[in-house]
Amino acid sequence: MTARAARRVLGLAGVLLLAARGAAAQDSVVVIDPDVPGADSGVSGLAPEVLQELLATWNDSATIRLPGGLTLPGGARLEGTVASFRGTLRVAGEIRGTLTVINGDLVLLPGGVVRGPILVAGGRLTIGAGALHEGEARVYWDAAPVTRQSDGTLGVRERRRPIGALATAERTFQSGRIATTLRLTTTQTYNRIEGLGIVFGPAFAWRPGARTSASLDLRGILRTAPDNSPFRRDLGWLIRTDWRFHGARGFGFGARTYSLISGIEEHTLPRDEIGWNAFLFQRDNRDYFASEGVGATAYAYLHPRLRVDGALRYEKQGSVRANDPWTLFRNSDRWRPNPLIDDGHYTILALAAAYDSRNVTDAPSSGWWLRGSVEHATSDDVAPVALPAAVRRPLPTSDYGFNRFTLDLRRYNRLSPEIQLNARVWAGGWLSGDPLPVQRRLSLGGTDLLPGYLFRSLDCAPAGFDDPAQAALCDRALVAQAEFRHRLRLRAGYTVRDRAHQELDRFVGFEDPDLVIFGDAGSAWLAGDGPGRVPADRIRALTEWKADVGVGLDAGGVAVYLAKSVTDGQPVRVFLRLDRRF
Amino acid sequence: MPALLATPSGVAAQDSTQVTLEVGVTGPARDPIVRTRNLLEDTPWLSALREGLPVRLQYRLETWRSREGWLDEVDRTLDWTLVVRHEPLLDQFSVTRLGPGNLSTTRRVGTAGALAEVLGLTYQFRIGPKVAGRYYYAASLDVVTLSETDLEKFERLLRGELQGENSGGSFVDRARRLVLRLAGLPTLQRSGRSEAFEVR
Repeated sequence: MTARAARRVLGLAGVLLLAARGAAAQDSVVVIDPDVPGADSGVSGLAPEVLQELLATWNDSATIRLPGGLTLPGGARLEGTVASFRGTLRVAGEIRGTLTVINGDLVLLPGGVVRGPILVAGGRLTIGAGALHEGEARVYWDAAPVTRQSDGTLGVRERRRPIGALATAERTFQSGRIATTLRLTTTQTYNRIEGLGIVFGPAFAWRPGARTSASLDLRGILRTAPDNSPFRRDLGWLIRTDWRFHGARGFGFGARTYSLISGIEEHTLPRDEIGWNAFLFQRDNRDYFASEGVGATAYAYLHPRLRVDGALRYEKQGSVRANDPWTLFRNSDRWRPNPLIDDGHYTILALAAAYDSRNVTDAPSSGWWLRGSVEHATSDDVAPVALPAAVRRPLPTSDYGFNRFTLDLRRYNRLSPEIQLNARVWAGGWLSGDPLPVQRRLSLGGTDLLPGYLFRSLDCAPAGFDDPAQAALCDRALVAQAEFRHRLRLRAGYTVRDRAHQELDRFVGFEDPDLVIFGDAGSAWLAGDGPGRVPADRIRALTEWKADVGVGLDAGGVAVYLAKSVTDGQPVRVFLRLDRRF
Repeated sequence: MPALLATPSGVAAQDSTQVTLEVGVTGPARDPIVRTRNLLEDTPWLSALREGLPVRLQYRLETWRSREGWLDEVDRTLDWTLVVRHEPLLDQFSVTRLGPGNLSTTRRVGTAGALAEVLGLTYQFRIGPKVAGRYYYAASLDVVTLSETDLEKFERLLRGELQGENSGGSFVDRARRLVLRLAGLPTLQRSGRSEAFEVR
């Protein structure tokens, strides 16, 4: 038996001996019944009588007060009531009497002896091999809310604000039932229209009851990329009020007015990945337009997992041009132009439904997530962009109207604790009415939906149509994705070691990444009658779909993939993702 | 229940490879118990905490139903989160637990040793399966260092202000996490599994 093992055995014997004496201490098992709401919610802490005992002991003038971090050396001996505040008290000598340790640890070193009761609050007791304790021992891990005063005594400390509330760019003040928040943050992305948007302004939240809330949010948006054109304001805004009833899964309604830069094809990569690609490599894989208007929204949960939304908006949609915000690499390159859109004032009625049975929203491993939306939009003053006749017939400049839909079905399956098989189908596009405006058209290709193909490989641009903006011009798109995930017992990286302080060792790298094997297939097309089009009641023939397969390692927060098209002779493509594929 | 009053001394300085997640079954109701060993006991997270970076421990416990000759299925899932913070002026640590469900508790401890004891507590959940079958429990633990914004979001979640919102990251949040990661601040994933048992 090694010396260390012997110490453990002796220590365990000490545990049993102390426990046999019936000493009071902390429970070592926390029993939770998750089906009893709020059963153990709250703030735990020392019992008031224990706190009073600590104060009485320390503040007694007869008490021998020891500073924290003291070692009582072998051969030294103290008698009477002894107390220590903060730090670790190490005892190699002998203490006869009551020993109290406040917000510190007590360690009995080999040869150390304590003859009398021990009370440790806010720390732990360690009895080493060869140490001796005679008497009752009480240990409370909860810190004593006390502070040392100018005369050396201890007093009850006033409750402090949480450290997380310090030095943040968002501060909240509570006044009665109204919480006021002052905010200074960003638009959460980076793009070639705005650069990095700075968001500022107050927000007010009113909670008249536990299940009812109302909010008023006043946001200004300062766009940092210079733009001398008349198409984009330097200062945008979002002013909205929302009212919620029956808790988080009840119903609610809201109203808003806004002047925002909106994205086209927002179902593709997440905003943060778009922003990173733009900021680092001057590759902005999204297009934008300006939207200014007013709107009303309403939602209701018909079931805890089923939410329906409705929105009515009247907004001016206008083209904006690409600017030249700074990027870390390729800063001297030119940004891809932002395509012109069909400007005009639009009235939009949108209905959406979502069913969500995922176990968690971040990296789910089981459940369904189904979302669908239908949008009906009209305009009497649309100013159409000139597009080739092969893409669409001329738009009417009044009584213009169209219907569009999107559908996103995802299924997450856990086959075992380490293995997942997930699938997704995304479909969207023209439903009926006049042809879609540019800002509602679609494409495929790129790192999100069809990564074996270049960005917008399928954009429905006719041969000979030279558009440096590479606008998405398709009426409809349909793509299916599947992936197999296997958690690998793999630790790849290295440990930065500190010989003097082993506890400062740091491991840099990935632990237990997911091996991902995936495949995608899809197509995007122009709908309707005529050459090169797919009839409105059909989807494109499977023989004309594009498909790819790939493999990757997902370490959570960053993943690297290889993708290869299987329907064309495209080369293998390597790409990074910061989020899961879906 | 009488608990540990003393622990053996001499737990040597160690790295995160000694952290283990144990999953077991207890009692006639076959409730799961989960315990984490050697976490924050002289591990790199202690230095991260003292440098002012909160640490989040994300637990997930799943009840799996074993089906002979067919794929196992998840019967129930519980998630809970611990956020540990260091208060430098007091040299104390606070531990906030959110979940399972809407349960939340906060406790404050005075030393790193006491913190290690709190994080080493055994959790027993009264969710033993009632329907006859063969089951086992699987648990996972993800430990990450939080940015200030992450912490602020967690506190807003505790106040009920982020109910139903997606916890996905923003552009700037992602930058913070990448910086934390590139700085070599620790992350850890552990998983554990109980033995299988029968419910008749």
